[in-house]
Amino acid sequence: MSFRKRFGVVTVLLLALVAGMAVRTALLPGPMLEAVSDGAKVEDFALPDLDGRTRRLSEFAGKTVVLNFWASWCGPCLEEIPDFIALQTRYADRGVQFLGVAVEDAAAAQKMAARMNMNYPSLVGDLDAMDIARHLGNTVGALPYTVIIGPDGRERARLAGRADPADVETWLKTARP
Amino acid sequence: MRRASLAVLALLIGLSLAPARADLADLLGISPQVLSPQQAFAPELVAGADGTLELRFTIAPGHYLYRDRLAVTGADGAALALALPAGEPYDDAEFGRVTVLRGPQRIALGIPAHPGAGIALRYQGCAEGRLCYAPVRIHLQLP
Repeated sequence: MSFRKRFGVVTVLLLALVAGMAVRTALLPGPMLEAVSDGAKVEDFALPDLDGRTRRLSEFAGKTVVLNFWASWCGPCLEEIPDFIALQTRYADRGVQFLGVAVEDAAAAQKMAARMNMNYPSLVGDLDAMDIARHLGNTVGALPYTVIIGPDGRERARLAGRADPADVETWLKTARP
Repeated sequence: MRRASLAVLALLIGLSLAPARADLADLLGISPQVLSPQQAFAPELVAGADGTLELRFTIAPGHYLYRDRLAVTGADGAALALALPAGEPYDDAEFGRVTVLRGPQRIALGIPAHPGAGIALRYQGCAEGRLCYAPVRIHLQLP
C-alpha cells in the first residue's frame, strides 16, 4: 500500500473514531447520581434554618432525604431548585423530604428561598455547611452538591453538579410510602 | 469497501469508549468530570519579565472565573489594586450581567518578585451550566 493510501486509511479511521465519540457524548445524559456502595450512616448534624431555629438532620430519620447544598450565587443551583420543588410535591406522600443547606449568610439564602417559593426547609451555614458537604464526599467544594440518604440514615447516592430531575426521580421511585 | 468497513469498525469503537468519551468531552469543554478548583483554574505566581510578580490562571475549557471576585492581598495584608484583563460579558443567574475570564490569563501585580515573595488570593468560578465552586482562598509564594 502506498504512503498516500495508508495516510488516507488512517485519516478515515481517526475521523470515524472521533465521530463515534462525539455522537456518544451528545447522546448520553449529563452526570448522574453516583451510588455509594458502602452506604455508611450519615452522621447527624445541626445547623440553623432560614428562620434561625436550630434543626438537626436526625429530625428527618425514617424518610428518604435529598440533601442539597446550594447557594444563591450559584447559577446551576438555582436552575435545579424548581425541579426539586416539583419532586418534593410529587413524592411527599412517599416519605421523601428535600432538605437544602445554603452555603452563605442567612439573609441572602432567605431572600432567594422566598423568591423561588421553596417548598422544603433549608438550613444555612457558611464554612460549617461546606465542612458537612466535605464530610459527605464533596472534596472539591462544588455546588450544587446532592446526597440521597435512605430511611435507614445511610447514604445512597451523591452528585457534584446540577442534577438531572429524571435521574433523581429514579432514586425516589424506590422510596417507601 | 475495505476502507468503509474499517471506518464503521472505528465508529463502533468510538461509540463504546467511555474513557475516551470523557477525554473528548474534556477537549470540547463539556467534561462530565468534576475538577478541583486547583485543576479548573490552576492559579500560579511567577516572576514576570520585568522583575515583578505575575499571577497566572490556566482556566480549563468550559470553566470561567468571576473577574470582579478576584482579590489579592500582599504580604502586608493590604489589598492590591489589580489591572485585570477585560474578560467577556456573561449573563449570570444571580449576579446578572457579569464579566468572566476564560482560558489562560495573566495579571501583573506590580510588586517586586523577590524569592519567597507571596500573596493571598481569593477567587471564585464555575463550570458552565454544571456547578460552581465555593470561594477559594489560598496563599501563593515564589520559591
